[in-house]
Amino acid sequence: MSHEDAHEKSEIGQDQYLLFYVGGDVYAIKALSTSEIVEYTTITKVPLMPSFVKGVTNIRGNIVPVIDLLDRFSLGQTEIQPKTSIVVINYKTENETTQLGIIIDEVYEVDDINTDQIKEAPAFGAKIDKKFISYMGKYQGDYIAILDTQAILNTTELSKLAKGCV
Amino acid sequence: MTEELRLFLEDSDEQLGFMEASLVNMQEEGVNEEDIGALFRAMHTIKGTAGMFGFDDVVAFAHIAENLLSDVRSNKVPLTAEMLGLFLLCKDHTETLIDTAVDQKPVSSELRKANDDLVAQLLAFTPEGSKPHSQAAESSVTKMGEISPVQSRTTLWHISVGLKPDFFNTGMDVLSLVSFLDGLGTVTRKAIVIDDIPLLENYNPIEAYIGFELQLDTQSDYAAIEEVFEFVEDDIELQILKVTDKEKLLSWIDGLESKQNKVKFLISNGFFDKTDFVTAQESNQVVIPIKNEEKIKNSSFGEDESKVASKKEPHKSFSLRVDSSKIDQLINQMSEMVIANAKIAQRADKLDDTELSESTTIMSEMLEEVRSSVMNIRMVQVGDSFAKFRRIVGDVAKKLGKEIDFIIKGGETELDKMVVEKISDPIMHMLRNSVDHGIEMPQERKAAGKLESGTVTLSAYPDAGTIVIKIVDDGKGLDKERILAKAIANGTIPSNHNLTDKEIFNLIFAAGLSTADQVSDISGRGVGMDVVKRNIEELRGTVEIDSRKGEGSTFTIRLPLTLAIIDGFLIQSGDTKYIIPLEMIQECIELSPAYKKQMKGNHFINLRDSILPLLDIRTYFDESESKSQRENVVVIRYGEYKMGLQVDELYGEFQTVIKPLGEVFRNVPGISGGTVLGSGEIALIFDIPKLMEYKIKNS
Repeated sequence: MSHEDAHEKSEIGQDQYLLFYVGGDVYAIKALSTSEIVEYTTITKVPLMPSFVKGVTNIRGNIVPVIDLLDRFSLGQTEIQPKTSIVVINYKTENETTQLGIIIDEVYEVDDINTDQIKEAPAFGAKIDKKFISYMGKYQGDYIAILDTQAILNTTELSKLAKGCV
Repeated sequence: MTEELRLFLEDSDEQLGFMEASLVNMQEEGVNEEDIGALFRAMHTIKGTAGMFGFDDVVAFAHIAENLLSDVRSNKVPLTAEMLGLFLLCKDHTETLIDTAVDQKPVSSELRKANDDLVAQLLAFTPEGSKPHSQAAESSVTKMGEISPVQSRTTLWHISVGLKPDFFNTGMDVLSLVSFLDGLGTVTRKAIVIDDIPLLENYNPIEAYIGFELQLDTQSDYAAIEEVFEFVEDDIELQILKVTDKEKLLSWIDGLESKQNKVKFLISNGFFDKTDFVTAQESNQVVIPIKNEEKIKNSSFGEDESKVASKKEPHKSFSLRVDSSKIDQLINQMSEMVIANAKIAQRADKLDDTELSESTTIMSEMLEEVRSSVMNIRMVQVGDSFAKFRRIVGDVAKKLGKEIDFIIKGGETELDKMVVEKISDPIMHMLRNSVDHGIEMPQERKAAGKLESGTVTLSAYPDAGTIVIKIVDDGKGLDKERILAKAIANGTIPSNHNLTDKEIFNLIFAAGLSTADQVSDISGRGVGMDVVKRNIEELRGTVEIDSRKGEGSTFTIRLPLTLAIIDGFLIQSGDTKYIIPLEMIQECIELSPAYKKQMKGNHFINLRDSILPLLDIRTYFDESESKSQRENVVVIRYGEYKMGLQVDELYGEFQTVIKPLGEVFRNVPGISGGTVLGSGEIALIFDIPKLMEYKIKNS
């Protein structure tokens, strides 16, 4: 699946969502904000980066940073399994759109979530930091977190060195 | 800025470059036809493309310059040294006009005055015969921007074209002929004569029956208009006459078979007035000149001018403009092919298929060749862009009354096109400085026992994986005391400083520091050297100064070969693979127990009697302990510094395509990018200068 020009719609609701497992839970992100899903491949570690920045990988000749989503949520580190995948996400900075990858355990589904099934995130109580959640969406009877990729992939936070400067 | 406008700017820059190159070349090597041709073509192309964008001022000016050049080309006017100088000024002026037009700025009064001066000078050289409307042309440009230049003092011509029946056999396109006229001036009136078209039963589709009546408002003379029809003169009935030339009009009409019809046609289409056809004998009425108020602005024949121009001036293309992203794409695709091929090779190994693995070897060699050719596309010789400095140095020297010998060395050195473009401004600035501040006045030089004419040398050569560009002058050198005084005065450094000579010289790169007593329009405003340094650093380069009082100064710029590709050396440290720019590597040695014993807790070793500081990559990057038994040291030289990098594994050479790592990794010190290895893995590229700078600063 490829959505090269991911024009984000102002209203959520009509969009398709990519649902996936991370650390045993189902999360969703807007399908339009993703570019592709690839099998987990070799990741080259970049020194001094925080642990959730796993390193860089080669996606079609381009160097793409890879983030361990579970680690980003401070829920531990993803163990690499046969179904582990990397979702490539279009991340918008001020001037350009770059690509970043997130590690997920397994793809669950690509499906619509109706507008009337989408609610604000609760003020507290969610397992992951509220800043990472855009909305909660009801899918097959359960509320799942629709993730805010812009917040998760915030470059300023990602680029902080793990131990200050050497 | 729109894409078209950007392309226009690029193109006109190139054309202006051609102009300058040929002018400077002629100044040095004498007048020759080839350069005159190039000069003319460049001016002509600019006129054409500027016309497409409706930059009337540019067109008007270029037109006048082109006229004179055209006379030069046809040997009507000899090209003198004075004219070469004038054309150089014209080139600059054209550049200014283009910039003004592109920025949509109004034409300032100074610019207008400069324009008029140049036009007057150009016209002074133009022989009488070629400038029947010179005065008009001049007056028109004084009002430039207000009226379209091609319409300045022009003559109205009436052109009658009747196609002979077998016209189509010539293979000429009628439309292109007529649109060509549009290039000469403005077709103000047009009508198609269709009276001769027969009834359908008599109609032969391969025969021509039509004709045109046209009114052309142009500066061109009879001969120029006639020339348009040169190729088809036998296949058409052509009549060209001045609209005011009543006699000729009458004699033409008289000679026609269908006299009455023609007169009616011409009158009904507004070409002429009834009174025009009254012979002098019949009436003494004053002929009322035709007014062409209802000009047809965008005549349907109006094909763009460049198309017409290219027909007139078919010139050879010397280079091809390719978007650099296309090359990047090609390189990406090449990398994927290499990976795919590596997989085949692996499979062949597994199957123990010697023939197949032989094929993959050949394949990978070929891929490598293709890749290096693709990478070579970006490289250009620096000489072409250095040539333009010759003139700037000459101009500045002339203005200051100094005598300068300007020497260019190593013009054949190749550099990435993008680097060449970006380094051009800094070099220009530094050259100006050398001429302005470095070289003394002739009498001063004489008094100091030097040759009256100073020497400024601009040279380029490759060195240790970088390109070095040196600007050397034999002038008075930098005045340490004065720099210090200034820097202390404006608080850049404290008065109780403890600086080495080099550090003092480096102060001139601080913003707002100029040692020139007098601010000239050439230099001395104190803006510049800081910009120069920044520009160079943006290219991952460095600049150093060396100077001796009374003997001169040397500016040394060190630049990476290219922004995109380096010859790298692949190593591994911890879990990560790294690339070190190959030409910075002097040697690789094994860190034997003997060396280790020597170190005694220090981080340097004694390498053949010189002290080599060591940097352990793992500890530097805070990585886990090595699994490797063998430790290696890669000895690196950058400029005059040396150091050893302690690494785990040495893999060997690797052609490295530099790719950005992106924003996320911008804070990692000493890493400039990444590259995709043949296996698809990624290696990180060391930024050795940054690494060294960082290490030296923090030790």
